[in-house]
Amino acid sequence: MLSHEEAAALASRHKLRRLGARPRLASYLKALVRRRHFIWYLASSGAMGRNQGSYLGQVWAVLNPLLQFSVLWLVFGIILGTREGTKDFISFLAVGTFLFGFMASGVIGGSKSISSRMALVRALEFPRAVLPTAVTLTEMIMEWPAVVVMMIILLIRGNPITWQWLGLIPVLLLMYGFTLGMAFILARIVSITPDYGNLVPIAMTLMRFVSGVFYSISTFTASLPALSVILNYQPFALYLSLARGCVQDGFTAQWYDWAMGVFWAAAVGFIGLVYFWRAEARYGRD
Amino acid sequence: MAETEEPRGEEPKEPEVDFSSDLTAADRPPKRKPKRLGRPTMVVDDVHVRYRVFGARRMGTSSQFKPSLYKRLFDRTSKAVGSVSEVHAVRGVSFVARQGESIGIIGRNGAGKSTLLRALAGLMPYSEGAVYAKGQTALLGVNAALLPRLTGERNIVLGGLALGLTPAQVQAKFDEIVEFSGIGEFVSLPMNAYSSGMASRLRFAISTAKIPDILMIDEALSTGDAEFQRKSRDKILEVKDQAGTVFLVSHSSATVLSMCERVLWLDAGRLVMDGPAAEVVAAYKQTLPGNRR
Ligand SMILES: Nc1ncnc2c1ncn2[C@@H]1O[C@H](COP(=O)(O)OP(=O)(O)O)[C@@H](O)[C@H]1O
Ligand SMILES: [Mg+2]
Repeated sequence: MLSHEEAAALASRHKLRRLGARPRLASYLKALVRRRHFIWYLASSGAMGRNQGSYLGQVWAVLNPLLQFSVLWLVFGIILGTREGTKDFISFLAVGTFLFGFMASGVIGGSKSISSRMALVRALEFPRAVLPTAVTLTEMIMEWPAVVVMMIILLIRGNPITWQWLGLIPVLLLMYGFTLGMAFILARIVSITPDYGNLVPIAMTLMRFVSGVFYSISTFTASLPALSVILNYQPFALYLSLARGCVQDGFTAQWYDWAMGVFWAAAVGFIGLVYFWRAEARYGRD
Repeated sequence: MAETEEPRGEEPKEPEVDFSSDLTAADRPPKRKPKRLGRPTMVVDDVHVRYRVFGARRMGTSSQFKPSLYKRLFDRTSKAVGSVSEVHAVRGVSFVARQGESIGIIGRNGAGKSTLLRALAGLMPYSEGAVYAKGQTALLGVNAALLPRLTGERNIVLGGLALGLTPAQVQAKFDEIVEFSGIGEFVSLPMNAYSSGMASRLRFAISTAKIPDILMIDEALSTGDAEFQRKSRDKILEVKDQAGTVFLVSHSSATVLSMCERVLWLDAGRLVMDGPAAEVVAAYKQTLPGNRR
């Protein structure tokens, strides 16, 4: 029987690698990039598989946000009347629901990306960051029909198409970076302590209410400037106002709004990746 | 009695007899000249593996709201937090595996065979000790489908890409994989419509599309028919020929005896015996009630 030292020496003499040792961040990233086809295939398969189990199939990708949109329009536009400061409430709400929906489903799906794919994790060896990346990508693919519906609503409401509409592309990319970072952070937390998985949808419901999806934050917090700044510059609300600045008539985004948007995506994305990577050797335990 | 294994009396009896004659025949030709044991491919040093089990963890049970709720959620290090407990499935296993070796793993149900293989494949974290391995490992488990809701085709591509093949390489190997698995047009059905035999055949074909350095088979052969068993044995010989190592968990001692020259006997997570196949299998059989010779 070998001692620990002898075993390690024997292993290094024959160039064996130690399993379960955390790779270095640089080689982890390289491995992740090498698996880009795997990520893409997993993401597109996920999008295909999503609505397969129902009669209407992919139609749900459009129907679901449309129904949510109608409910919010009825409750907040008609019954509670939160139209003040929204210029055109229907356009305002369309951007709010459809784009918030993207972030919310990315965060919720991403948080379960490890814990709900244990069979895959226990069957094949690959950098586990593949899973949150693919799941948020799936959400992004699934979101395209909804983004198109959003644009149609905006056009019907008479918002002019300008070159600024192209700004939607960087907004969606920044949203993806931010959502991915959140997915990394939550995927690690939920895979290690599954209980938090139940809290994520509730937290997202809260965010839906405080992120200016169906009311104008500035109008409602006019008397509380500090609160107004906090609410306006938290990432969910910020990305919605960036998007409105691009596509809704009468809204503009300033350069510092964009700067904050880039900051959130870069900071949360990077922190999330590092946080997730640090637990790489621990995924798959149960 | 119910929990002990019947090493004999498994379904595929005839093919095994067939095969052992096959093997001796295939052994003669220069293709597999008797090799001296090669360099180590795997060094396993005092490995422990633990599972976390979430027991009766239902919302609304009174225990949920004891003052330890905070501790329950935030303290992940304590051994048994409320209804969370640990199963110490592998308790200090050490051995060295070498090139060209095929190693059987036997033991009762729950002895920790599957868990040990997962840890050796780098798929499950171990809590103590160390595993050092050479090159790429592939584990064929009983749960064969990678993503059961997807078709066999998609699982093939996914498995290939996950192994690190490029899309072009997957494309090139696709027909070969389908052919090897022998599942025919079922390849376009979702894998949850497969029988377990079909699923493990496909999975075997996927995992060996690129010959791994270390191949681990966890009872995946027992579900196949005679034809598939023959093909998979050829693959195993191929792995050994390419200086790899094969681990085989099987309930059939005939399979283990015909395929492995060395056997590890696990019981309750501990390595009871490690030695030549015939000796270890005989010793193991001695302990099975009603199976003494
Ligand atoms: N997913 C799991 N969660 C918790 N405990 C498990 C899990 N899988 C296996 N175990 C436990 O680990 C031990 C070893 O199981 P396993 O490795 O499957 O045994 P074998 O393959 O030898 O039949 C058993 O006590 C079993 O109950
Ligand atoms: Mg088992």
